[in-house]
Amino acid sequence: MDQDLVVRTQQGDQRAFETLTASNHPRLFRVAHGILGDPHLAEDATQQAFLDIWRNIPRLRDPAKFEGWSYRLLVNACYAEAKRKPDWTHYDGLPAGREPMAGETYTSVVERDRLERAFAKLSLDHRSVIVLRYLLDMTPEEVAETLDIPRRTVYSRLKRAMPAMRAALEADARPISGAASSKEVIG
Amino acid sequence: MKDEKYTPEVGSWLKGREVPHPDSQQTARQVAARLPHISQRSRWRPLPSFRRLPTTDQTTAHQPSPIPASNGHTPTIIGRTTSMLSPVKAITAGAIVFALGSAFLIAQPFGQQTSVPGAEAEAIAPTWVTGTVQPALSCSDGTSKVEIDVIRSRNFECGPQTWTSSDPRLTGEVTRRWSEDTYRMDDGSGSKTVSLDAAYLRNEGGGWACSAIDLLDGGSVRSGIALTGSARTCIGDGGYEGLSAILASEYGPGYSEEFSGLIFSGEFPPEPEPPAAE
Repeated sequence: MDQDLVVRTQQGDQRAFETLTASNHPRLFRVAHGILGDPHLAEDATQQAFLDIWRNIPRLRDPAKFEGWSYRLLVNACYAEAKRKPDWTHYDGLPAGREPMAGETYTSVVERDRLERAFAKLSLDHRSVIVLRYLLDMTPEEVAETLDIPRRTVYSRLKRAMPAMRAALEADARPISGAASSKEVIG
Repeated sequence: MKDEKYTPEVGSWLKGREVPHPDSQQTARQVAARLPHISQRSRWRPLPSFRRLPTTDQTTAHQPSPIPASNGHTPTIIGRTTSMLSPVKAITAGAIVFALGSAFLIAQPFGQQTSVPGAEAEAIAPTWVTGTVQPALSCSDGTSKVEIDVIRSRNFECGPQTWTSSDPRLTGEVTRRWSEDTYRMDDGSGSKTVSLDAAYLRNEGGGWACSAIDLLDGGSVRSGIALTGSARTCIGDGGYEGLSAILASEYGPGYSEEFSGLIFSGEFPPEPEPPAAE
């Protein structure tokens, strides 16, 4: 299905591309949000990625490679978006009024907040690799091909990202059941 | 490893992370509305590449034999060491011969011309040719060797592919092989791939060895974006010995192509001489 749309898009069919965009938007947005953490930036990056896809798709030789190829353009768009808006990495914590959802406890919400903060301190390189590896469950080889980097670089980034994450978590450590935390959650 | 305990935690956090769900249809409409202002890149920009594949005879056929001097020393060869044939001369010669309207020149269909092995080598008039390459039936990975900041991949292969062209000499089954080096750029611009593509065509009349060199933005020929178009240069073999061809290709999906170009007798023009040192 997608391959047919890809081929038609390669031939300049705008209607086919609109369908391709609608069907691929959720997966690309999810990754962009994973990397950037902000829904507005993620949407901007995703839209930019689709425009890049439209521009460059005639030169994609193998339609079967569309999915991985589109992730690469998306990550590039995320880099560009982050560069354009450098303040995006600043994570202000949970939004005011954020209430635990069904099944959540204040503890789990605060724990996620800590992970969010720690993740936001990672470099974009590290975040991209982690998102592809652990959100999409790509193998390191697939991450390397998608990001167009050597496999050893993927391993190296994964190896460095986790200690960085741990360090950020430990630096951010605080009593998760304390009154201060609960207040912070309740906002 | 102390960090290993964080891996599943991070994984489950990422997957369980709250993700808003923007309206995909609306996004598609917004993107589509901007398309008229964004032109698609052309599939292929012809850029002549006069690289030739070495053939068995090439290394010796055009080397003049040293003429022994009377004093017994082998003289040094000065000046041109390759054939002086060129497409321009071939075209001029062809035009003159045609203008004479000689009774010796009787136009024959291509089918008859190619049925005589070796006849093409004597043909002078160049031929404009257009054709298509069918998508590859199967492709296989080559071998890759990872070095510092470069991945050297060798002998990817796709085939057989059928070339169908307006000239039967460039019609037949083709096997394509390519090798590529992918360089990781230090400036953060991703990676760039240099690829050498070779296509070997065989038919009843003879064969062709064609080559093209490409520069791609990305990690491989399979998924990279071509930064340069390239012309495929072909050298005739067997019944097509003495013929050359240059084909400008537009690449399509599945390694399909549309090409157009020229078959001519002789070689590509020689490299221009470098400017004289002052």
